[in-house]
Amino acid sequence: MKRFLVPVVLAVLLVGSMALASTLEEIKARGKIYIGTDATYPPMEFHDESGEIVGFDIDLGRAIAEELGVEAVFIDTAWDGIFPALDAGKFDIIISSTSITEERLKSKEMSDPYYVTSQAIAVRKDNETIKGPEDLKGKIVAVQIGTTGDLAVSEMEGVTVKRFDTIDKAYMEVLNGRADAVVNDLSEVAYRMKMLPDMKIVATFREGEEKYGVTMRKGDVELLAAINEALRRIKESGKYDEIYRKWFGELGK
Amino acid sequence: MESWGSNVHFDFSALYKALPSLLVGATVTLRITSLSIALGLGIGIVAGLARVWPNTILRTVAGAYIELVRGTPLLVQIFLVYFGLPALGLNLDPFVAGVIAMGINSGAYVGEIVRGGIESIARGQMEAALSLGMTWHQAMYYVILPQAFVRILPPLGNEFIALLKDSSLVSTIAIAELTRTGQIIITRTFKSFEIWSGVALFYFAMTYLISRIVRFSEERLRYSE
Repeated sequence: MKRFLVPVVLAVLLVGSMALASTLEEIKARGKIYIGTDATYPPMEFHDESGEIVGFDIDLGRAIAEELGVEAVFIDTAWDGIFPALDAGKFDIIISSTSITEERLKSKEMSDPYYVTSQAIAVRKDNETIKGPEDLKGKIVAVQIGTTGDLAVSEMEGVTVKRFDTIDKAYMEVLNGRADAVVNDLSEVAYRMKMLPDMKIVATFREGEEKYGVTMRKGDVELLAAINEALRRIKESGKYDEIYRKWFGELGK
Repeated sequence: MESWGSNVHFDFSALYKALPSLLVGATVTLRITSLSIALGLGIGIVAGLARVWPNTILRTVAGAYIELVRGTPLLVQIFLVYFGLPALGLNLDPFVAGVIAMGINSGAYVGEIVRGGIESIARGQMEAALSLGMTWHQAMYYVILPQAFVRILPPLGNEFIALLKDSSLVSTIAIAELTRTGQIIITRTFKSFEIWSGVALFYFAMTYLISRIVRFSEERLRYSE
């Protein structure tokens, strides 16, 4: 048994020491940055009709990669496994409408905010009882698991929360009459309402408190600095406004 | 602009538009399933033989493997291989992780099928072969296994069909197989009924194909008996 253990331990040490090269150096060396994203979230990240991954975050990711002088490779990942997958080294960063929260900062590095939004409450058109967050008491609210919408309603008293792995299922639940409201980021809800004429937005809350950041593994501080610098330059050069107009038109934030 | 009314109307043009993507997803499902079947067959034959081998250690190890794998959900095994192994320095691509998890899982079931097939051959045959002067290995190879193989085929076919359907679980590690492809299309179109019907049809076409192939080989083997 011991004879077995020695090579195994050596192998683990070897793999471990290879990981000592910083993520930024690795990215530069391979000429590619691997970006995890859950492409089920229009208009931020989704699959278009041809199956291509597109969206605001995707264009932003490409712009960041360009600033770093590398190529962006997007890895489509289910939301409920996206943080474990980052820690497991399946990709270098996450760009997936990820709000910066105290909780996430404990175990991850997050960039400066690149997009600011609120939480929105959407209900069926024929619903007259829900007008604001306080009306959610005693109601069934559908959310996507682990999102800031999920966190927000989970803190509310007397709300029954139904959690789904993708956000479209939450809308479906309301349309099918099995939940009263969807709570999610306004950026996504506003876009979704264009596809769902039988639903409406009744209120927004946590105004301007949803700040999206690029997520990295804890300790990747070199990469964090490089990405913050890239974001700064993208905003200064007008590239950011160009991407914003492409996906949100001239509408307000 | 897509619309979704509470006065439900079905729009199968959404399914028609999705067909090319679903077809690509189905080929991924076929690829991952056939590789897993190959791996599972290899592991399963070894495990099944080990279960009847006249060697206690082999029997115990194979027995432990089978019990452990059959006693835990495939979904948990997939997560363990994909998210868990990187902690030991083994960072696998989703597709490889999926094949390994499904192959190890299927190997346990195939192992039981192989053992069952061998044990279904009357004990008297082994004794007769031994008394004719054959060694245990010869008796197994020339007398028991050829007969067991014919009996193993139908349950093996069931296992392949079950595995093909269970491959939908790898959609959770974002392998763009048939189920995940359907999900992705629905996040954009909201055509749940139409798309899931199409996905179901694709699965059925594939499982039906497997069941025909198994039936065909069964008949061939019967004739050759």
